[in-house]
Amino acid sequence: MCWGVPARVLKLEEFKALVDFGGGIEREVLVAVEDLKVGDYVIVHAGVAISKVDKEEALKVLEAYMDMAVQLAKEDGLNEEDVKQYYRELMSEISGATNHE
Amino acid sequence: MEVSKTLTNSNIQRKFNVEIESIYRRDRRIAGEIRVLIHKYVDKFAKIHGRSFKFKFMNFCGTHEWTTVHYGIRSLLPENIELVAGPGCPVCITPSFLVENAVKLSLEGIRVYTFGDAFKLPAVEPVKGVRSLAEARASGGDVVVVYSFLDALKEASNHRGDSVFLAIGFETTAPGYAIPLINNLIPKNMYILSALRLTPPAAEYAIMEAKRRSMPPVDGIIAPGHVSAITGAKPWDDLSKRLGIPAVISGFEPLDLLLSILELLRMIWKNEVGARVEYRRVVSWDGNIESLKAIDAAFDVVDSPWRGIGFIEKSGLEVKDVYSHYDAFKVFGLDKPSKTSWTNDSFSGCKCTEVILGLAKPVDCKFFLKVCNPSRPLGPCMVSSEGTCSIWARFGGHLNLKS
Repeated sequence: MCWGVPARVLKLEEFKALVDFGGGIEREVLVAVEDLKVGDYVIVHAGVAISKVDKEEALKVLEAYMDMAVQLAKEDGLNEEDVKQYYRELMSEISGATNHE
Repeated sequence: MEVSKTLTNSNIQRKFNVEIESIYRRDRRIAGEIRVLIHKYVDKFAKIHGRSFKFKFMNFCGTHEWTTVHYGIRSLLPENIELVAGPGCPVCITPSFLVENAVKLSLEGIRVYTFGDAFKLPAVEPVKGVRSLAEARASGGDVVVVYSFLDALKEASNHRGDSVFLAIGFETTAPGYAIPLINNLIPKNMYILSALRLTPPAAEYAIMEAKRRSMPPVDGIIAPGHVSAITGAKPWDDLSKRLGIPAVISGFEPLDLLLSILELLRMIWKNEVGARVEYRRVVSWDGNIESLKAIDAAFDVVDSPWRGIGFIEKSGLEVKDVYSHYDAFKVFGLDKPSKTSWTNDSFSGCKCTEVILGLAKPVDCKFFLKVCNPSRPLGPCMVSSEGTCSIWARFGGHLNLKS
């Protein structure tokens, strides 16, 4: 029931927005978020845009987890620099994947 | 580790967002890494508690249970970690009397709008031989299934007669009703039949119920991401501190759940309580302030009954008196049970109540996949696509892949 689907804002009115779910699906939804702009990504639940999606935060969460992984690897007696290097490469692959056009 | 770059081109941005979701959905490498870390923590705990220790983590959202079952998260975890579904499906806990009232109105010629989830939701006491809105429509009742409240508003303004919206949902859905209500966007011939319920009080009830029945206690809370998009992390932080167990607000992709489980383990290891937000791309600490204000202006928080469970303190939303001309209960003089007049509204023999509270699994019910299945549901947990029984029936959560 609390199913939420990310969508991109195409058009804005006072209380309503036209959003694009991808795959050619566009719908008019109610806006429950402040300071929304055209082009923003939102989570749509039951026809209501309830929140903006912040992509930077998604990467930060992964980074925080990587830090934890490094910490645990250190406890296991692995070389910190090697582990860091491994995760740095993994993360740059991910951010690379998210940057190419 | 510096990975964030400023993205201005909307095409790139678009790609980026799609990719982020897909990383969280299906990056097997990172999933494998997180799984290794989970096992590492379990090994740490095993050194202290022995190999047979158990941690029980409870989720409070049907979508979390869906992800868990659909992506086989349970089979990725060590046996020491048990994932349990708590009350997280608003359709499943909608009391029978609300369905009876909606059926009654539809048979009297008043149009009833509902979400598809609640269309087949059965009442315990049939009204004129009719048990659900689906049956009511088959018997000539006026029932319309809509995708959103907004669609119903448009429909109703072209409709001559009176209409009622069966307003089911948790905090996530509440602003969708509250904003039109306080901004006069609802046509004069449309009324709200509020079945709105609040999640944290029910979460607390379910966790305490395990204690009351001397069942294994809940060791960690996997808090619902989209409810928290509205409420923020605060209510879960309070709950966590009151009960002394950690809470992590989780997103809905498989990686989100794995990361949340890992974070819960870390918090238990460090003896931390309070709420942490894993779903930071959507949830902020204070929540959606504008929506919270709208909910506050439109609804009163009241003690409300939950199906098969009974009254839970301060767990429901009722249309405020200033908007009583939109309140279907007042306009049509509908009955509401009080704490003393409430009678248990679960079907006899159906284990739905225990399943909702995380005290039983769907497979423990004698009706499960025998007389009760998704095409012919008996209990409310089999009706909604977010009900635990329905999820297990469709995606096979009942299979234990390890044994």
